Amino acid sequence: MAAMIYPHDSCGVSGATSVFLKVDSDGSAVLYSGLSDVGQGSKTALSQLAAEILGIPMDKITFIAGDTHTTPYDEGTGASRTTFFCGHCVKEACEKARTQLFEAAGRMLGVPSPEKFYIQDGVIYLKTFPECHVSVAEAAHASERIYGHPILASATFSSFSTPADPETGHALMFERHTFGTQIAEVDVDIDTGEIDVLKLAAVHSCGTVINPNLVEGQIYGGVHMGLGQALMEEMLEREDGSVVSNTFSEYHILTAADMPGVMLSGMVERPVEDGPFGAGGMSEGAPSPTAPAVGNAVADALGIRFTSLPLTPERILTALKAKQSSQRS
Amino acid sequence: MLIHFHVNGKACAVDAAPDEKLLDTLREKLQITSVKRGCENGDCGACTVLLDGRPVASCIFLTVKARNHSIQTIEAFGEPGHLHPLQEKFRAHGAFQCGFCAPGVTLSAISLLNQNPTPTEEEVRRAISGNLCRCSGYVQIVEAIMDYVEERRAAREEL
Amino acid sequence: MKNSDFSYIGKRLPRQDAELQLTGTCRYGDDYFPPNLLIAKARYSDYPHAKLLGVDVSEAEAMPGVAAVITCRDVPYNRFGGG
Repeated sequence: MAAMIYPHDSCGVSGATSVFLKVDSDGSAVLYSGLSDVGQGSKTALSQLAAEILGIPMDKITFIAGDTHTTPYDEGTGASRTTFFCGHCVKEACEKARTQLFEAAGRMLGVPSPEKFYIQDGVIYLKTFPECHVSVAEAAHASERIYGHPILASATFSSFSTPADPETGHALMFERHTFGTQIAEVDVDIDTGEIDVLKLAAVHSCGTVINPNLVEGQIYGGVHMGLGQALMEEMLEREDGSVVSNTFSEYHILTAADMPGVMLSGMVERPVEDGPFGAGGMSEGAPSPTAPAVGNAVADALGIRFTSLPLTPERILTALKAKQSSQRS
Repeated sequence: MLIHFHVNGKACAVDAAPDEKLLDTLREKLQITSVKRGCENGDCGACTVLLDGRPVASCIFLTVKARNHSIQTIEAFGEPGHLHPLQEKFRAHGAFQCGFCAPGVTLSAISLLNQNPTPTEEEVRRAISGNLCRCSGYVQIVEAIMDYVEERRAAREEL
Repeated sequence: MKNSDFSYIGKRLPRQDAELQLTGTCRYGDDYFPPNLLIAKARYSDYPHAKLLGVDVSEAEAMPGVAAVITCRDVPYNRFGGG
């Protein structure tokens, strides 16, 4: 078993993130963000967040990301910061736009109090009398064409680290952290030195989960990397520094047939303070405890503590031989 | 030299050099960019196509060897708005993240399922072990394929 | 609030770009072929840990089809990282 704590956010820079939003008169919304969705699914998760607040169906939300010509500044997609930072901006921008929609609806219905409305499935309802309603499209249209107020919103969010105190050395490098624990069950063949990871369980904290498929994907992908680090991934160099392992024939990553027979994942949803609906982040932390968990399991199996990775059959057999020799002498 | 073969059911004739790779022919001469350039070493499977129904690594397959054969890329099985049922399962399970390995994995899986509609999980894993994925750990991919297998099995039983 | 109170949060919704990925329709960097496309290749040292005494690009520049040869001398401001 191994546990880890991992910061999310950047340190030493402002960590600024921003989002633009517009709601059009057909009842659709477009979000603009400088984030990069390289497969982690941020565009989808943040669209879910927007749909929740704006009450607009997902298929009417367009998320434009990572176009430096049209999207506002984002400090970068990494450090497990996107759901928290961009989400924070998406939530704030959507809440502003929602208030504008309620104001327009209020003018249309003669109820000039935005707090008296709620929004659901593209329709704005009066709380005390839901039969009184207008669609988001109608409210946006009226706001744009009649009241002279297109529905537009923007939001920014930053985070700063506190540098180290020269006297005490204490610093607040990151304001938020994610935690995770993984347990590995292994079988070691003492004749071949091969390690078979029979089961791996990974539980990570991430705050409120916006989309479980996406978070699980990050956990599994991270474990894949961690297992590679533990079992087979190694940059081999000659004495002169030239690299031997520069193709996948020499640099091995786990295939589908190499993954543990049983893979379990869990998500702890303790809400993150300041997170949008309590959401946080966790991805970069996912590979961290895997190799330590496997190393601890191997140490439990063989009574040998390894201090270098990967745990190749050669290293296992060499260590077993050394242990046998020292036991004999 | 002029090489005649079928791609996704259509007859093609391509002027190919003797050392030309099928990957380059498909991507650059036929504009089929769903076939990905990954390692160019036959290791990663991103360039997988089906040759007479069997998966091959097009990056190390000579175009001249495709003469009179049938090639299938992912376009043969689904298109936006009309996904293959296996692709629907991948979508529902959130199987792919960056998506780069998706066409290759799907073709390997389809090839297996055409030969063996009821594979075990181990057989599925072995069939896609030539397709490397760095994003997913293969978990949701395999779950989606097994879900598809089970659904087909149940549908056959009902008949 | 519990996840059951939400309409979208906590739900296993498919990725918005899933269909494009699955059908091979979405384009990655290598899949664009605009007109007048130039291809760049990196030339690294053949010798690791060697001392670089100089770089002579004249032969490369003279080769037919070569649009430009770029070295660090052509990058006036080279800053890595954020901030």
